[in-house]
Amino acid sequence: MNIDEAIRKAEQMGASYCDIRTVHGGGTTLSYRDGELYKAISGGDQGAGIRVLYDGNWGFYSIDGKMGLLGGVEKAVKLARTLASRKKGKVNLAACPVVTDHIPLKASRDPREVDILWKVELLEDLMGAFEEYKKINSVEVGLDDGVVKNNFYSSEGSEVSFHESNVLVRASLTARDGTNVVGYRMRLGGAAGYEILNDGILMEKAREAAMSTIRLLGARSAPSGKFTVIADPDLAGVFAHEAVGHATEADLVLSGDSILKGVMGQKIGNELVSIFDDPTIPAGFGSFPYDDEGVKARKKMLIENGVLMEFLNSRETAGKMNTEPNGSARAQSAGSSPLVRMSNTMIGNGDQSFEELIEDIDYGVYLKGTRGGQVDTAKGMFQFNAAEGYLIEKGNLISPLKDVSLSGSTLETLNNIDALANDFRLGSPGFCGKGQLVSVCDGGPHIRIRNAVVGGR
Amino acid sequence: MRAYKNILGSNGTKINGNTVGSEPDIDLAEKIIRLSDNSGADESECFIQWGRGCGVSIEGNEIKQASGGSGAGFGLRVLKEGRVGFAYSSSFNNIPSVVEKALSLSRISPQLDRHFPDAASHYPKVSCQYDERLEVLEVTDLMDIISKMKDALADKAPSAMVTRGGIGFGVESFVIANSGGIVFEERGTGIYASISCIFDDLGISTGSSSQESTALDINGTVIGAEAANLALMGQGAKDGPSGEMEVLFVNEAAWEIFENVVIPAFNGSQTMEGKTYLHGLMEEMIAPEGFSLYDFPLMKGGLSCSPSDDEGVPSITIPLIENGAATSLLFDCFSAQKYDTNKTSSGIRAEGMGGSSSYKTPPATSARNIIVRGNEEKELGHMIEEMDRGIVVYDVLGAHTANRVSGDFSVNSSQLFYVDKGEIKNPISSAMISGNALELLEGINCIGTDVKKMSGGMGSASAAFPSMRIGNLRVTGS
Repeated sequence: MNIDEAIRKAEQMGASYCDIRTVHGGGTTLSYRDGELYKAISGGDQGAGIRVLYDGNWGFYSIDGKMGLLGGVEKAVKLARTLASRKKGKVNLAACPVVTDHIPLKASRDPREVDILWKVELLEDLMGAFEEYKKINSVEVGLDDGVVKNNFYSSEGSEVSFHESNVLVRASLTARDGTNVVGYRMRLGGAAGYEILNDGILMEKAREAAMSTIRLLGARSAPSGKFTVIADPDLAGVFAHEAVGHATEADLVLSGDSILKGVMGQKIGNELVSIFDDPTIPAGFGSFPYDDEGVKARKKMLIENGVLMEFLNSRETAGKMNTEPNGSARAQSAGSSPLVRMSNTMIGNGDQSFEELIEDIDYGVYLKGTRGGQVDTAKGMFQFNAAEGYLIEKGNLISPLKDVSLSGSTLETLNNIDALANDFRLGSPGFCGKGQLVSVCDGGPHIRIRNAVVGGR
Repeated sequence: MRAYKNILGSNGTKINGNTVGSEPDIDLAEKIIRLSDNSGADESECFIQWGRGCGVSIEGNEIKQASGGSGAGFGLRVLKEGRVGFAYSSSFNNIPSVVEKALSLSRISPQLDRHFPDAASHYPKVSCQYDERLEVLEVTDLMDIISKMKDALADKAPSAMVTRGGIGFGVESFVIANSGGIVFEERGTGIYASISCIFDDLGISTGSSSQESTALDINGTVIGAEAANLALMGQGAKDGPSGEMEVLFVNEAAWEIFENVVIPAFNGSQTMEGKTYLHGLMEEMIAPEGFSLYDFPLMKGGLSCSPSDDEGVPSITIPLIENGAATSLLFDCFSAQKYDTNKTSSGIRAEGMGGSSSYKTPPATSARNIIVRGNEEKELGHMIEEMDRGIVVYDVLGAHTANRVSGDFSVNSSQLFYVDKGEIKNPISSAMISGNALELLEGINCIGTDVKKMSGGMGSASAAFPSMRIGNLRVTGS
């Protein structure tokens, strides 16, 4: 494949800018259901994504191995030209440093080198960890790993290549007691090799998941209404990602689809609250060294002491906002064009203890873990489901709760967070959907939210 | 994330990335099977997929990008001594290594008495799955439809701002073949268009609408007008009521709830293993008499419809609920063999958001095209007139967080209206609606005539689904 020739062709056809990403990699998936391996996949992917600017209009074309790069470039330019024939393009890329960088794989236990039988044994051990819990009547476990080599080339002269390694181990537990059925999911992983599973961390996580599942069997439905809520680091992280992070994506801000439009530099939350997005955390599931526009990744303070400080930007949105790109353009694969995305999004630590957070609560709810959430960024409304909860009465955790959700307004909630604990940790690895899926992580400390809408069933 | 439900896939089409540059190739599939069988597999199955697509996206009132893509790949599933292995590749350059990978994975798999489906004597005909006009559609045609959406929106709501939307189409074909003699090929087309807007006058309101079809019959003007109407109707929202009340889910919201709360429980192996609330309820009454729910992959022009599933099993209609009784569960080929029951043409290969068809994964059980029937179907306006006190819900957030094991769900809506004595009184700023799948099914008291074709937001199941009114659900106002 001659990249230079392809980029020259785009320029000869009139493109003012061209970038080419090639992705080459593969991975393994293993899934067990109740002790039986039911899914074993070995896969290999390769492809390229070509993006061009022609008269301020974007054209993008993705190809696999069959079509040559030159053919793809031609298609991409033709697409952009067609737009240009009908409208004046307004895309103006913010400048970024031209870089040449080649980053080798950093994983010390490269998933490709780890024997498949070791992976089988790992999952068998994980299944074994649940055996002593007799009420857990069904266990599904699995792992996904992969190593991908990304190359980025631009007509400006940037040339970046880096390897990404990912490992994700998952378990889904079901417990039944008569007609009472409950489920619980756990995930552990990172942008790393199998070294992240050392130190018995998987077994510890498995024990916690089993205990949570058993607790849910004895849990009752949550009350509905407005309460003081404590969110654990997992759920606090989901709030940081879903409610705040999405609203800081500059493409949404620019299209009027964010509640944070027009409030840059203003105080939008309690001064105790700081929220940041950091793709440079070692082994974080949402970490990467360069974004998919060849911009070096860096930490972004989105909210600092309650004040909105920075949006997540691509080169295009930074151009429109007259600011610098901050390495937030990501694509799911070579087949996708980069969008403004998050990485690892977190609430900063507080200075109180968990006990201090709950001691004043007369009647409230403690929400732990997450089963996901959704947000309407334009209206600034969110809805999350917690994996489990507890009723709080007179400063004490009383009875376990199940199927409890939290909803509300992003801006009100940012102001209603009135205390944060000093127990920051990363949450579970996950995938964020915005038309495309990318790996992300979140986290935070325990946080207290006044007047939160809690829904049971 | 719900805000993106209507954004187009990266290459502008819901039929995405893994998809086609050349014609389907049965010879290649048979060659791969022969190679696999000669390398030691007892049975082999090859699924080759091609696709190409093109789309135009809009963001903040502007056309953002024209994108396209083409691609192909294959998945190989092997059985050796009753052990299964699967490998895929997006390249056809090194087929022997894919065969070796599949065989090597089979060595770690349990020995089970599984077999690929036998050759079918006949495949049913499913019409309107392919529209040749979509083979030759141009970017300029897409821009024309976008103009219609934007013009209709601006006509109804001049000061509303378009936030995002777009249009994409694709052509996809696949070949499925196995050593048992199955050879099936299919070519289909699809198109999807959507627009969302925001209106800020008496407070912020939003509106969005979309249409999806297998043929070039979507109407940009209708899509734009619907989005504008919703945004206008949402102006001046007030706090909502709390308590138990009647809830009317308009078609898109109704499908989103069903897709996440009801349909997953019809997964045969999950329910047989006691992992859903339907366990032990087969043949019991779980919905009002007269209510039926079918998986109907033979529907003319239906989304996710085809003469065959992704294992080469001829498509059949499956009654999931018939006249109120839980009737059948869904099984792919292997799960049917495990539970010694009939396969239901439910073996689907899908991955990613929205369950895009993909050669990268072996078949798994999935519903394909859900439809409902009731004793009597009424127009939406009539359904509202019959309500004493309740809410009409156009959109829900967080349906995918439902507990699929227990059937408990709790969703938020900020696109809903308060109804008193048969009339819509005012929009509601936000409310949470919660309940259980079985309460939901038992509580269905009316279904609408407004059937809409929609694909899945999370999984691969599509539907032609109407609005649905539920007698009593818990609502928590903001």
